[in-house]
Amino acid sequence: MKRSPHGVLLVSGRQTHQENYGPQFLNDERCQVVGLSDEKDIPSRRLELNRALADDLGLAYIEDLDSALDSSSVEIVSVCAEPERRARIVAQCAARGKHVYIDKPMTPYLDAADEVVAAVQTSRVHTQMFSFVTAPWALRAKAIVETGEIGDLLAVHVDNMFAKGPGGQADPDRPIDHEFPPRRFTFVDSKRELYAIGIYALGLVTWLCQREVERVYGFTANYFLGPHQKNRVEDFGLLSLHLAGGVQATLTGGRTGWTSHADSGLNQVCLIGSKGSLMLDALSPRLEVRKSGRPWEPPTVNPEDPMGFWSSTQKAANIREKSEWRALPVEASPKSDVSSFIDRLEAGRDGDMNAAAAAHLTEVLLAGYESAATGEVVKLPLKRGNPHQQSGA
Amino acid sequence: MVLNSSGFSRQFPYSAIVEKFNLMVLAPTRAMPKNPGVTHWMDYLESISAAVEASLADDSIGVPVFVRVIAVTPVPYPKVLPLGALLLQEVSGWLRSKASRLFAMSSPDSETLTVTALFPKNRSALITVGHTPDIPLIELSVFTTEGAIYHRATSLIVPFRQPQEIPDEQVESIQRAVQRSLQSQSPVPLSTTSQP
Repeated sequence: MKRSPHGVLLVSGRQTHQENYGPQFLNDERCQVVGLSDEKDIPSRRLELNRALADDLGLAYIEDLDSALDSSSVEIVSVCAEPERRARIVAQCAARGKHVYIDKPMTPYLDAADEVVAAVQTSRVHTQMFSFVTAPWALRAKAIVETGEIGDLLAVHVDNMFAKGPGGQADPDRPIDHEFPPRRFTFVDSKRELYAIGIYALGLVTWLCQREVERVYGFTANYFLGPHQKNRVEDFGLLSLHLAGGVQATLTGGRTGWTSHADSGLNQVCLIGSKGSLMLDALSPRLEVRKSGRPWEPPTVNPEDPMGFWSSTQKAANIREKSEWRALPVEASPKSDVSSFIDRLEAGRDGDMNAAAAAHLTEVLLAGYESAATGEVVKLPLKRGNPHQQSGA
Repeated sequence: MVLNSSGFSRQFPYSAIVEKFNLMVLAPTRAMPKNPGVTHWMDYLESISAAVEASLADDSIGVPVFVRVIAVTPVPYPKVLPLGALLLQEVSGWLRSKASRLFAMSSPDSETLTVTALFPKNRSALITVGHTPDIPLIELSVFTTEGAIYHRATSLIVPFRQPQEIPDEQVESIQRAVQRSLQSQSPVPLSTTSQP
């Protein structure tokens, strides 16, 4: 007997990653998207953007999330609200017995992360935060580690840089003036990039090692982008990590400017094992194409989205795609992260990057920010109840 | 360079294979330095350094701000440490200043070393040296304010020469700082550890 489709509710609309996940749920025949919703008291601009994506996708907009969750037809909620309010919505959905697909990062706040984990454990729902761990090249890296081809894993080094945004605008010599403890993470024209991009690299580190982080040394800077510097948030960050069992790791995350890469940006993993080492690149294998015609040029700054955060604004601004590199698939039928989540749900399992794993990443990132502010190594777990680690949300 | 190359520690059986190296420069205006066409690992490092310097001389690339180096070689412990110090000294040249603070980590068997180095004016670097019984690799990324320089040689088909140490005050002070950081498991200022 054919199983009835999973009812999916989308939370938040345009200028969030729901622009990417929403269509994936719509295109998955195992799902039926029942509408788009959000919290009742959101700013008018957010409401306008939510309605716009609901229109784009041909969905009803339900103004009150709380009442939308009453519907028994809603089995899964895809939560893409801004990071500052994301976790409370995830916890709310879990508490109402809904499985939750979570945009990354799950939350910037330690207390909020703990609340989500508690709500999920109590309700026994399944969760998955978007990450790179379901990407074919990452799965290949994992398989190599698990087969023992390179021996015992000694070190992992991951770089994830997005070649987006108008570089050359920051004054790299200016003393770093980042807010600590960090409270606000996102602006129209900037984000905390260690948090927003570094989380991909951090997720790969913990997932590949299957070990928790014990000690963190972090550094953040403003190297490339003017608005980030103006808003006192980093465009670049790095972490040096000591994991359980003595495995060491480093990672970088940043938004390095349109002209910093031939394609989307540096996205690589180096595995060092007792028997060998390996570099994996998300954009390898690839074709490299040279041709006549107008070379690729950075787009003019779009005030709606100067950093190229969102698909819709990039499309509206007619940003040309870089076409010199053509990455080739390493898998015949690669699955999206959303599709992998549905696979796991149907098997009665969490995704590998579930709420608990995502909460650990929040804690490591916060330790990184504390280390960057103090210049010292920070040990985990962070002390609960310490005002420097609480959200103040 | 303060380490020269004398005597092969290992001759790769595939060393006769024609080498193909690629130093890729990305910036608003492109510049492609000539292939250095060298044959030995330590010499090759010198060629990389010269090519990076030449690339940074192009004003359109902006100012270098962050460097990532991953070098995995047949160098045995304890040579991992001087090689890491040497690489940090090279990187210091690209960043136009000496590191002021560093944090070092090594694996339990000491076969890999990673140094996080902070420089004046917020510059930074990550240097990793690892041991491999296999084919060596050197991965290098130099991020600048308006571009980047990448070196990709995931299978570096260059005969490896055991580096021989030549006394150098700066490299030795870096080594002492690395050892002190490893012992204390803490970041250390470079200036106070550079005294004998």
